[in-house]
Amino acid sequence: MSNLPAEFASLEPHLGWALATERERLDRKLASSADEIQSFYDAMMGRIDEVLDHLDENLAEEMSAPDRRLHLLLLSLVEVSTLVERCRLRQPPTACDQRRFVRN
Amino acid sequence: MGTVAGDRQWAEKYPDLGTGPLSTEPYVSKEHFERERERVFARTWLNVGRVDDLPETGGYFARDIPACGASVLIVRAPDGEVRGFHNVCSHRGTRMVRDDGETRRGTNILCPYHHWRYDATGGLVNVPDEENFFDLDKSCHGLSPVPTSVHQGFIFVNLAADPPETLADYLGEIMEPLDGCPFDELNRTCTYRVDVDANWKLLFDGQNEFYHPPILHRQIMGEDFVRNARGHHRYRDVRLYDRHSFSAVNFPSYRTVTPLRFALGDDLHKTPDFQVPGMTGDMDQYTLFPNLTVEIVRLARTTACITFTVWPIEVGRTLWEVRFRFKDPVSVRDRFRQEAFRRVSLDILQEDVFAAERVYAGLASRAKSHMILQDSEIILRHRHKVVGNFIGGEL
Repeated sequence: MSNLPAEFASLEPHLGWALATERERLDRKLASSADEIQSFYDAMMGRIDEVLDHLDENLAEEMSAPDRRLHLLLLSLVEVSTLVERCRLRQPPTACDQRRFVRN
Repeated sequence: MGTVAGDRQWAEKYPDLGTGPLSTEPYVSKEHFERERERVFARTWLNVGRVDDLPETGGYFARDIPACGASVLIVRAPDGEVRGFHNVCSHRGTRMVRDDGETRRGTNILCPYHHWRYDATGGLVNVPDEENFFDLDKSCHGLSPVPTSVHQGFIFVNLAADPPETLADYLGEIMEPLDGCPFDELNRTCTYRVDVDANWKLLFDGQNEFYHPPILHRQIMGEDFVRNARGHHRYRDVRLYDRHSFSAVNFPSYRTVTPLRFALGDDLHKTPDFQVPGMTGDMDQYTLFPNLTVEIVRLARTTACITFTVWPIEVGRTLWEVRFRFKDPVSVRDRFRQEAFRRVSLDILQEDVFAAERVYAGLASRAKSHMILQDSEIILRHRHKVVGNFIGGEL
């Protein structure tokens, strides 16, 4: 049994980003190097339309475990998106520590 | 509406506010803060949540009001009304329920100390070992009510036992453009709390001037501003009331779309997922003095309501609560557009907290006795005057 839906095997090297909570995704972003983040972002964006189409077709209350992991990868992609797309992979020096925003 | 208004127009609209520098003392003075506790937070209507936080009869949540050393319980009573009580047991005065942002279900409010139990009307219904008390009449020992009132689904309390004004009179007409806002459809919410080392008014200020965003947030927001020939932004509208204020800004039609947002279907055409008929700009902001800002933002296809509440703790410390509200998403792309919206908003808010703390640190050094405001900062000038009216003159 594979970790991701079979057609997304190319994303398996990035499975470490399939994290269940917002805080875990944030911690991983903060602990990752610029290269790791860029490589994850590139891998996801390379398949983004297929990922979105797949999840749209398989949208259900109870997602299968591989679909759920794909979904979590997408959440991690959003987590790193501003950093990659707007900030050239450097946290702006004019921002407070993100972990101080505690989610209820 | 891509037009950019001219310079110094708001001072012209509101000449009574003047254009001179403002004293920095109200941000850093402990005496001033004490007066704000007594004359603002203990006497005005404070937002504590929304009716959607209490979908079921008997549901309740606790809300601490640290500026007043108080905590209230907000309860959905069996008659459907929302009522407020002091979060204090009638037995020996224990604060009963923890303010953790959670809504609790069920009709029983239980004091953890000796298990005195109250119902959703605040009535005392059970006392363990009641027989060992002396002439205890439970009907006389319900929870102490707190004046509580609801406007457009927003719940407010007033810690004055006999509030000088009703909530409707206190709010006046400011919220009227929100009459058609489908708040009851904005079921997808998430809330953040952040403990900020700054005076509460600095969080208010950061939300209420549009001089800083194209500068402080230039990386995050890129070209998402309508700029004039010199690269600066102008409010689309500013409306100042007795205590409250309204502002609106527009986003340009040439805004940049990042690769992720493009993949999610956010293109240059604005087709928002819900409409507020009374909307003025692309981001309308209603600031209700002293503690609530309601922001309706329309960014490409996502529309969101964000509420900000400020809870002063000490002169230099404030709890800031930020709550996002979206419609239930109808597709995966829809859902992830909301996620991307929330992510970029948080990135901006992190910079706002950074700025508030830096300003507080600078002001607390008392190197500067005054601050200088430009026209896009007129709401700060108004807020300064409103606070002055409440606390009564200079110290």
